[in-house]
Amino acid sequence: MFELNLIKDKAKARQRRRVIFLTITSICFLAALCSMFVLSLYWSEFQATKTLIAGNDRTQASVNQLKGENDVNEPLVKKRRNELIKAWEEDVNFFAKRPYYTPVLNIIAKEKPDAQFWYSRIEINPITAAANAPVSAGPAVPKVLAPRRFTAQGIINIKESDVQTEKQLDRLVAKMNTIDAFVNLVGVARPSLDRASESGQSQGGGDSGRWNEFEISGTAGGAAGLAP
Amino acid sequence: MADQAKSSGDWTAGLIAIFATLLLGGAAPIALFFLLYKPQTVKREEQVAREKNLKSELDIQLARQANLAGLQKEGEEVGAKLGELEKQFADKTIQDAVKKIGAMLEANKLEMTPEAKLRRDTSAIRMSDTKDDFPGGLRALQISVTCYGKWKDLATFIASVESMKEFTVVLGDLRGEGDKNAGDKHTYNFDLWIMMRRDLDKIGR
Repeated sequence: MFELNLIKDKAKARQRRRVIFLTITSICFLAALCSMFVLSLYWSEFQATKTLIAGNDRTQASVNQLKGENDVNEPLVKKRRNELIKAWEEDVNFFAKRPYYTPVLNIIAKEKPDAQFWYSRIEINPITAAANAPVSAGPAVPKVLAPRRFTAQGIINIKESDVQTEKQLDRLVAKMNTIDAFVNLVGVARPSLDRASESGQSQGGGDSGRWNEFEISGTAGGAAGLAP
Repeated sequence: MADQAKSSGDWTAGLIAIFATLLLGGAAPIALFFLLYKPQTVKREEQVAREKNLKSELDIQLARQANLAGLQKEGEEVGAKLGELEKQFADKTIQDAVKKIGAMLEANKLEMTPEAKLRRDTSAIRMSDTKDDFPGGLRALQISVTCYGKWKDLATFIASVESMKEFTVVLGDLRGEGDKNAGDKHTYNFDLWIMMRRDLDKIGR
């Protein structure tokens, strides 16, 4: 009886061990299966990240190269373009504002007062800014485009009266002032008769009347200046 | 009773072993999930965000490059227009312009003054180093002329100088002195500003 019980116990113990072993093995197998699943997920993430990093590094290199080129070239190209535009604008502005003396010289050559007269001195000068001009006056205008001043001095024979001669001069100057190109260059001309300079002596061969000095002058009000 | 106690005691160790295996076996994939997989997903998300930023930065740089080509083209177009305008200016050697002005003086019967003839001057034109610089780089070179002739001839000469196509010349100071003996020939002093051509290749470089 005792031997039979012993055999039964041994059989039970063996079965118990078998059950425990199988259970533990199953658990281990399942754990390994789960772990492998997690590892496969990790591996796919790892590969995806690796691909992304490689792609990003390539993109970063392209960005750096492009940025470097752009940072160097952009200021140069912009500077060149802006300077060319500035130069072109300056040329266009020059051609628009360049002063022409021909209208002034032509009208002086063509128009004469009725009385006998001649010019002793004619001047056209650019009005350049004084060296001590205030800075607030703006950038200096090149001498080429500076507004002009006109002065014509001469001697006129007064046969009738001073008033009549002055009227003749006024008529002459009025004709000058009808020419836009004249006014644009040297401003509105104004005559003046210097009565104090009266002389009874003949000048240039004439033997009648009195001789007076006169002056016609005009100053442009910056008409030929550079545009701001 | 003793048998029952012995039987439950035999299972205890086994059950503990099973429980321990269950804990360890369950912990392993969970640990792998949180210690390996999760940080990797964070890394990948960072790279996705970086990729997005890089793409937008690349687009910006490509747009800058395209804009640069546009700017360059614009500059070339302005340069071509400027070149057309500058054709009317004298190049570095103004000798051609001076020669032409000398010929025009002669053609308009404007000669050297009697004083200059006495001094045996060779030309009515005097060269000078005076320059007039514009703020944007345009430059004019001054020459001075002292001549003698009729007022009408001077007016014709000035008109032809001002209408020259191959050179651009602007008059500066002009002074005409009437003949003291009431003759019809007078003395004229005037400055001519010859506009100089720019070196287009050096502009902005």
